[in-house]
Amino acid sequence: MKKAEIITALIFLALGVYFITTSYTTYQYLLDNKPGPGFLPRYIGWGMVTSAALYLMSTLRQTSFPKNWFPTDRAAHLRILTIISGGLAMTLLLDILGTFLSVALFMGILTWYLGNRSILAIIGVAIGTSLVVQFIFIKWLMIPLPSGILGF
Amino acid sequence: METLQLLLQGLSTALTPINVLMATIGVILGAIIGALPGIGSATGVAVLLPITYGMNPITAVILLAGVYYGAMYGGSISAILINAPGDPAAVMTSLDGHPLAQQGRAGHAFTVASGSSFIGGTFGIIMLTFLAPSLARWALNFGPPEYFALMVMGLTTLTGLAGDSPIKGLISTFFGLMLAMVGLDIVSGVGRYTYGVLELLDGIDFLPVVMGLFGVAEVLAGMESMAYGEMITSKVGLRNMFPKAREFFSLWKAWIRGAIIGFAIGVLPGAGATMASFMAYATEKNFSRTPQRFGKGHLPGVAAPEAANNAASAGAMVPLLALGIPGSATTAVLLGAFMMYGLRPGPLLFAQRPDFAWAAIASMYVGNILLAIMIIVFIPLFVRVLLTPKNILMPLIIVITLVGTFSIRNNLIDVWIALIFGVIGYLFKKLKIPAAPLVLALVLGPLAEKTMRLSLMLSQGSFSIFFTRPIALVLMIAAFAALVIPIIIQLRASRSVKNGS
Repeated sequence: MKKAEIITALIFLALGVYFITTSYTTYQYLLDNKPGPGFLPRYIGWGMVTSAALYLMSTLRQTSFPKNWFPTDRAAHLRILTIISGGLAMTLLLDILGTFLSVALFMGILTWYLGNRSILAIIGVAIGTSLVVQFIFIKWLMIPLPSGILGF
Repeated sequence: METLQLLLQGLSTALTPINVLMATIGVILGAIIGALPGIGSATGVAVLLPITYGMNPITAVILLAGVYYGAMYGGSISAILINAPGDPAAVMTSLDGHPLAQQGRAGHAFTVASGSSFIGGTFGIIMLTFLAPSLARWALNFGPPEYFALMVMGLTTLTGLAGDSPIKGLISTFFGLMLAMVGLDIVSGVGRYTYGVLELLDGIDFLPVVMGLFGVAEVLAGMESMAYGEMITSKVGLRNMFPKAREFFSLWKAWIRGAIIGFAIGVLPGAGATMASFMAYATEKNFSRTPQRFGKGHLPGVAAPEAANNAASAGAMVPLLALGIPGSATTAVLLGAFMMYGLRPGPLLFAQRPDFAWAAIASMYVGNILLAIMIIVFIPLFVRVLLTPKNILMPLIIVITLVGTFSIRNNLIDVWIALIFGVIGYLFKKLKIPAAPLVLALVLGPLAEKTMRLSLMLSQGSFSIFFTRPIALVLMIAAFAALVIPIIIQLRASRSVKNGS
């Protein structure tokens, strides 16, 4: 965990430095003697640098860290990665396949991957979820969702 | 008298059929969401936000408020049945609730939790009714410096108290402020940190961020394990719900103590329902003649924290409605929701939109009564929800979150933002960096910048304006104390641990 905390602190430190730099180089601090677009970002940048430095120092001084703070088993990693990539794929497919098919595919594949082996249950969950989504967003709230090349 | 009149007007709005229906739906959905382990009220409100987008703002807020206090109760269902609190505020309920379930008295625990939630919630709402308008009236005298100081205080209190470490809270706050800087600068017309992406000129919308931080991130955390824990389902039916009347009403002292502690802590920004329930449980144990029975299935151990966490959720609405400063993650999400509907909580809300403010307060009375009834009637349904397999539930939450995010502006970039913040939120969770200060900073950032600029224009660029006006000075001192005191407490605690070891 120590390594992860150090990396996190360094990322935020870099972000803070970036904000300070842009407030000097890209955005004006004062505009007609009034606060300009770079005014608050400079203070926020300094605030972040200070906080990140404190975070880094406290992490370096800390001697004990919680064990198993991150899941260690491969199956958990795969499940997390699958749900993220599934979400990404569903989003990318919304415009191509339309909401109904994208949602059904996402639900069907994920439900199967996460352990459900009953084909009937998988189909039921996939189509049921798609129908509920269509009903709530398109019929009830009248929000147009992408219909894709198949037209639904 | 005027307050009661306004409340009656609010009740006439809250009691229209559509609003009662929405309060009922909100309460039931909230209880279901709250019952699911790990999915708290902030996630519930965030995930359901897009569904309210096309609604009348009053109806939408009634629905979301119902979800909020429904979830506060729902957390106790999983705490009692599977010893896995659905919400951190229900942790203390599990200490005595689960042993009661093991003794075959789960129904009694539910009824006590429901009755205590009702009493705590009602006490909190009555206090809210009288306190919020007075506070709002006082705050009407605020100018830009006072508003800026108030926002700084809101940010520092949440920063100092949310999570385990105030330093991590600070990181979260500054990250939120950085995100709030993205977009068109209203004074100069310059696009800041947009990198040529046109969609970013409008700034980063709070909704996809919240959907990611609370919706997607919770699912990712839930994916670490596919098990919920062992559930006790025996004797959870209407027949076994009610303890003896004498035993039930003997809890009145626990209710009073819990409700007072809960409300007082709930009003403080950042403290929240979790701290309230911890303190109420500890106080009840201290006052008890039989402290040894706590933790082994003692009804006051359920009554006090449940009264406290529902009173705290009403208390957290006081700074939100009266000052526009949320006191918890859920109220931070609610603040964003209000702004999404074009409403700005704070002193002007009571002056400019009394219809909305009073309907929102009145709906809480209605929702609280509905909650007490629904919980008893639908308890078998809530128990069934806990049997929903994770392999269906988790993908379902992702679908609702992502499609809901897309539906707001029909914009895929929002979905990408939700996914990115889902991963960030998950990492925050793992590193114990609180997400609530980020949300609050993102929502308050643009307003803070505007009031700061106005103040500095008034003072011709001098920061002394924040320290020479009495109210602004008091608020700035409070803001400083709210940040520094938790840091000192943490340093002392770590020193005493070192000395002890």
